[in-house]
Amino acid sequence: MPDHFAALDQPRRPWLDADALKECFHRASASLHPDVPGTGDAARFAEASAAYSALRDPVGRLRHLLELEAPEMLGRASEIPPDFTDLFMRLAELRQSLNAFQKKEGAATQGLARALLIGERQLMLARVMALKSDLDSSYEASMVALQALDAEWEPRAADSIERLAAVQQRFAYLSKWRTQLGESLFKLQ
Amino acid sequence: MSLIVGIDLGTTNSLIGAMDAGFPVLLADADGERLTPSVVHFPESGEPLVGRPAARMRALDPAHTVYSVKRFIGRRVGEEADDVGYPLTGAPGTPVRVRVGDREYSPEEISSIILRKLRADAARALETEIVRAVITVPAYFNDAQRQATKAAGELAGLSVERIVNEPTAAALAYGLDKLRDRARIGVFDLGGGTFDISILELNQGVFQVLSTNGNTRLGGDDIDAALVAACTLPVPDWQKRDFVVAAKHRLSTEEAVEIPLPFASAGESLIYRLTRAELETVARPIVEKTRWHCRRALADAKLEPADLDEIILVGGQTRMPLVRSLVAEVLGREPNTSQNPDEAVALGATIQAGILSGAVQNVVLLDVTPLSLGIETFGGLMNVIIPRNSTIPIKAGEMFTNAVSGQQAMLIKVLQGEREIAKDNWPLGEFSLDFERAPKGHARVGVQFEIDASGILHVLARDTKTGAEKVVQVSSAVDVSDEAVEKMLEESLEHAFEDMSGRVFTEAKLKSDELLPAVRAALGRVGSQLTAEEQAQITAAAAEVEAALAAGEPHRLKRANAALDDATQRLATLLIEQAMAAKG
Repeated sequence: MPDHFAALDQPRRPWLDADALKECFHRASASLHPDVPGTGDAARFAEASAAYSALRDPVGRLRHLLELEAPEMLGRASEIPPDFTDLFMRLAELRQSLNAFQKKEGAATQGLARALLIGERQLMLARVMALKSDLDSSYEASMVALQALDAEWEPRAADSIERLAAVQQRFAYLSKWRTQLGESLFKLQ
Repeated sequence: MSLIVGIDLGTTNSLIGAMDAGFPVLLADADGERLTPSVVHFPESGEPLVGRPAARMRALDPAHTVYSVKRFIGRRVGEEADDVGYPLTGAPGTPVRVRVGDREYSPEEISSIILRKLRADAARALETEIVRAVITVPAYFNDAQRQATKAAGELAGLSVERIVNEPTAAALAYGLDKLRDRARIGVFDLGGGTFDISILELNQGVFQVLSTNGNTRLGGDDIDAALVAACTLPVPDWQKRDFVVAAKHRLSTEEAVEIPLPFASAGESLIYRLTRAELETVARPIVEKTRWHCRRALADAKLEPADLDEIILVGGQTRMPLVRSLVAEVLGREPNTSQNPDEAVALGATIQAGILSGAVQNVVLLDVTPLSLGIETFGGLMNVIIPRNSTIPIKAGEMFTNAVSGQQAMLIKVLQGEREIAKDNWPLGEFSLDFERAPKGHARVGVQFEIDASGILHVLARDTKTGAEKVVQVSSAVDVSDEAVEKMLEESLEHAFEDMSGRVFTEAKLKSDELLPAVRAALGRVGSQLTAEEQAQITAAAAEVEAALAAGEPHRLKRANAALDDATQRLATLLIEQAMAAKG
């Protein structure tokens, strides 16, 4: 198991500043990239690059932190957090109607037939935007929770790992859903 | 460290450069020209002509004059329209070849003739032998196209130290005098045959590509062809190209042009008239195709247009006002036109050559792989191993294990592309993994997929027991049987509905594969308790599933599965009753 935190000289904790992390990766690349005469080192560049892609987003970073600190927490079956049920249901329903709409739109080859669908398309777009904004708020709230967890990371409380696993799980759902909704939005626009 | 030159091997024009006292400099040929048309003419006898003299022969002797050969490099017959003035040969699915007179050439060979000319020009200008080079390719080139470009360099006697993406090279040229800055830039590169959009972050000498997208079959050539098709003058098509292209160029600055064609037809003098508005009507559908790729690249970089600090234009076709206004609309700002669109890529290739030779310091390029790399899974889906836009060089490991006891080998198909169904992606090739005899799940071989800094794939297999590593030869996809390729081509004709129905079929087939053996097993266990009529119904339903499978009809298969499911309801009930009885 590689330690991605160590590879980029980062403290092993839940919160890392995104800009500082990028800066660190860029400085490491400037000396380690295999193209750099003298200091280039393919193996160490690969480590730094893998570390950056693992740590840059909270979901990957928290998963890796759990891998290092409490690997037994990762395999556990997880259920959707209760306060996410509503988001999940809305997303599932929206994606279903989007699929149906896109099938209908795909079948409409004539200009007139497509024009008849524009109203529905606007409606779809509005629904996607509304859900996106709610997902974004949840994401922001999880970022706040993550920072709170980070503030109490050392000395570590008894429930820190439990909380870490819970926040990781929230990020896992939110990232997946944001990606899915982002793709839907991309197709609609 | 010996000198390395930078080469832009373009669809329309090619250039070569070298570092001189810390600056990239493009080298001129004996006539003082830096731009070499990527055209090769084969006269009746003697050496082929390259560049300007060859381009002049294009209208006079089209059958012996090869242009835009970059469209065919690394391509198979059937993938690319053969709408060029010279004949192409080769069986469907085999590499495209060019026939000139009674000889056949590969696109690599034609390209190598152009590269030899550039190499000789550079040797003359620098008064030294040239043996090492960096060559640029469209960012969206796949593995086969990159390998073929590298092979062209080697045929020309060059050691190809790196394949660099054209938009990334252009970003280097733009950013070389801004090494203290931090900025996010978009490079919009519309050339003669290809289109690329790349989003980069510049940070004090580090050039990190965040995302790239494009279309290797979209460019100014398409606009030329559309203009030729729209031109109704009584002149053969192959003669039209020269004047429609001249008109297109002039309309970048003029509103309307009139081009007299004194020699066009006997006794009659014709005039070709075109206005900018007419040109734009013809060009718009082609230019519009870049929009989707720009949005995709931005979305992949997780950026909004407002996050970009600068848009750089590259490629001759970006001189067209219509292109510039589309860029401004899609990317949200007026593009920066400080770079010479014909020269930026070659300058960037030269800078990358300087980085590799040590002549340029404090600059490093972190490029990405444009296409996802994956393998075909059981069930015909694509399993992504290295996602698109991953920073290269990159390695990713995958563990393979025997699916049945005593299995000796496993065939792995490697793919590049973004489609879910494996066969919709570009097949890079396949290789066979050898297992030692062991019970199911016990023979294990680790495979490492590596994409190097040139975007080229290498595969390494490692036996987990012995630790022995060996380089795996991925047999090129162009070696696959004609039959398989013809089938693929046939299917690609129905492309429009294929993604959906392909998926439906794959899913339905997985269901059938599960259902049919289950039905057989259930009949064996409790079939005797059914009436003869029930048995006949099930047999008929199962036969229909088999028939739909054989016919490859997705919706028929789905219906047949459902009917079989229905017909076996009573079987299921009997099985449950039997199980309950056994338990009690």
